Amino acid sequence: MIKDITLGQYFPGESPIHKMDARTKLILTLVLIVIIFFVHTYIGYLCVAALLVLTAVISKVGARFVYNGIKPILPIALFTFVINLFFISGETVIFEWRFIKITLEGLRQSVITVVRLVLLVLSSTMMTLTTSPMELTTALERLLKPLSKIGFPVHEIALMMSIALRFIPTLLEETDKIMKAQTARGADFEEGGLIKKAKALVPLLVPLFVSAFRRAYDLALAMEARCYNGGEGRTKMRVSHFHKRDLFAFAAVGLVVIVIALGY
Amino acid sequence: MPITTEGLRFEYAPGTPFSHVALEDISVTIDDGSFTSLIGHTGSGKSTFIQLIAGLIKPTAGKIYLDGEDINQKGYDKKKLRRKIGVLFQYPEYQLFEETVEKDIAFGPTKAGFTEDEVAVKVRKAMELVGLDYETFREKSPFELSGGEKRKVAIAGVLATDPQILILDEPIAGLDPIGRQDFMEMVRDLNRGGKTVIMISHNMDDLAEYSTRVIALYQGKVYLDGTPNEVFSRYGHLKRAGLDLPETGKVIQKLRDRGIDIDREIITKDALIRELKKLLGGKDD
Ligand SMILES: Nc1ncnc2c1ncn2[C@@H]1O[C@H](COP(=O)(O)OP(=O)(O)OP(=O)(O)O)[C@@H](O)[C@H]1O
Ligand SMILES: [Mg+2]
Repeated sequence: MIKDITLGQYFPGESPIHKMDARTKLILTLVLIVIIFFVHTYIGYLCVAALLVLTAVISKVGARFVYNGIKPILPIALFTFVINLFFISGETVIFEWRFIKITLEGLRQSVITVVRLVLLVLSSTMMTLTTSPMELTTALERLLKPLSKIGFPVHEIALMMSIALRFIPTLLEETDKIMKAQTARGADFEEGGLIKKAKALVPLLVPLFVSAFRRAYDLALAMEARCYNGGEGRTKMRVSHFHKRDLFAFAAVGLVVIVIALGY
Repeated sequence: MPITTEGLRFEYAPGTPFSHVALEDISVTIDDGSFTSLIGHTGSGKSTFIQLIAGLIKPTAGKIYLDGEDINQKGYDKKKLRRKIGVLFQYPEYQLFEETVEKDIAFGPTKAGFTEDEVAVKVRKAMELVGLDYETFREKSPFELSGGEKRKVAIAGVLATDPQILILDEPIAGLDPIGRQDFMEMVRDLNRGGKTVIMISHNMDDLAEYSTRVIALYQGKVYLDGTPNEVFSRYGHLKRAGLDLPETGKVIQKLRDRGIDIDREIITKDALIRELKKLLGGKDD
C-alpha cells in the first residue's frame, strides 16, 4: 500500500558507517561525486568502486537494498550505453552491418559512461542508506552555518526541511487512513480513465488538506507555546562529533583522491 | 452472512527491517446478528483484523469468507462487499469532504448504486437515526459544524448505505458521556434490528453491557473468546493481557478480596445492584 513508499531509503543500523558524523558522510560523498568526473583510468575506477563496495560491506545494509538504490537509473544507464555505442565513432571497427558500426573506442566510452553513472548513484545511495533524513538536515545546517553571516536563511531552510521530512510519513499515514475510510464507503481509486481517477481523488484530497492545515496550525501553536523564536541562540539536544572513524573515512577517501590526482 | 476466517496472518512491511507480524493464525466465525466485541492491548492487532475482514487490506496468509465466499479470490465483487459491510473508524469526521452535509452522507449510497430517490430516502433516514435534524443540517457545510455534529454526519454517512454488517473501530473516542451513551444505544438498536456488529473499544463497561460475544487479542493471537460473562470473569487472564476489568468486575473483585462470596460472572451494573441488594437482605424488586 501507500505506506510502502519509504522516504529516502534509510536503512537503520549500528555499523561504523551509520555512526559516522553525517557531516563527514555529506562532505565525502560530495568529494567522491566530484572525483568520479576526473577519473580517467581503470585503476581510478577500481579504487572508487572498491571504496564503495567496502562501505557497503561495513554498513551491513545488504546487497538487495543497495541494488534497490541503483535500480531506478538502470534503464537510463542502458539507454546511454546504447546511444554511446552507436554514435561514438572511432578507428577500430569491431562490428559492421549496413549503417550500424560499432568501434572499440565507442564500446570503451559506453562502458565508462555506465560505470560512472552507477558509481555516482552508488555514492549518494550509500549516504542516504546509512543516514537518516533528520541527521542529513542537521549536518547540512551546520555545514552551511557560515552562510548565515551574509544573510542566507540557513536555519529557516533547515527547519523547513526537517518539518517537511517529519511530516511526510505522517501525511502518508493520514492518506492511507482516509483512503481506507473512503474505500469502505465505496470510493474507488483504481478504476476508470484519467478524468474519473482525478475526480475520485476529491474525497481523498479535501480531508487531507483540511488535516494538513490543522496540523500546521497546531504545530505553529505548539512551537510558540514552547517559546520558539527563530534560530538565534538555539542549541541542539543531540550534537554529533567527529570521531576516529570519521578520520579513517577521510583518510580512505583522501588516499583515493591522491591516487587519482597522481594520474592513475 | 457469517464471516469466517481461517489461519489468518498479516505482516506489515514484509521483507524489510521494519517487518512486523500483526496477526497470526486467527480462525474465528462471527455469526449473523451477533454483537461481537474485540478487545486487546494497544498494538494487539484489532484494527488490522477489522481492516482484513472489511477487505481493505489483503492477508499475508489465510482466508476470509463472507457467506462462504473467499473475499480475496480473483473476480470477487468488491462492490458487493462494500454494500454489505460498513466501517466506522476512529475520528470518522476526518473523512468529510463534500460541500453540504446532505451530499456527504449521500456519497456512500450513491457509490453503492442506489437511485437518486432511494438515496434521498436513505440520507434522511440515516440523519434521523443519528439525531440530526434534516431541514436544519442538510444545506450546511460539514466544516462549519461542531465536533460532535461532524461525528454524527460521518456516522450517518456510513449508516446511509444500510450495511448488514457494521464494523466500528473505537468510534466513541473523544465523545462526551451523553454522546457516548446515545451512540451505544443506537448501535444496540441497530443490532436488535438484525445487523451484525463488530466493535473495538477500550470501554469495558459498554462492551460488558451490550455485546453477545467478546474476543480478546493478545500479541496478534486470539487469547480469550466467549460470552462477556465468560471473558470478563477471567480476571487473571485479562490482567496478563494488559486489559482492564469493567467497573462491576473491579467492585466484585474488591468484595471477594474481603471474603464476600459473589459471582464473578456478574458483569452488568443492573445485575450487580440486584445481587448486592439480595446480599444485604433487601427485597428483590
Ligand atoms: N502501517 C503499519 N506499518 C507497520 N506496522 C504497523 C502498521 N499499522 C500497525 N502496525 C503494527 O501492527 C500492530 C497491530 O496494530 P493495530 O493497529 O492492529 O493495533 P490495535 O490493536 O488496533 O491497537 P490500538 O488499540 O492502539 O488501536 C502494532 O504493533 C502496530 O505497531
Ligand atoms: Mg486500532
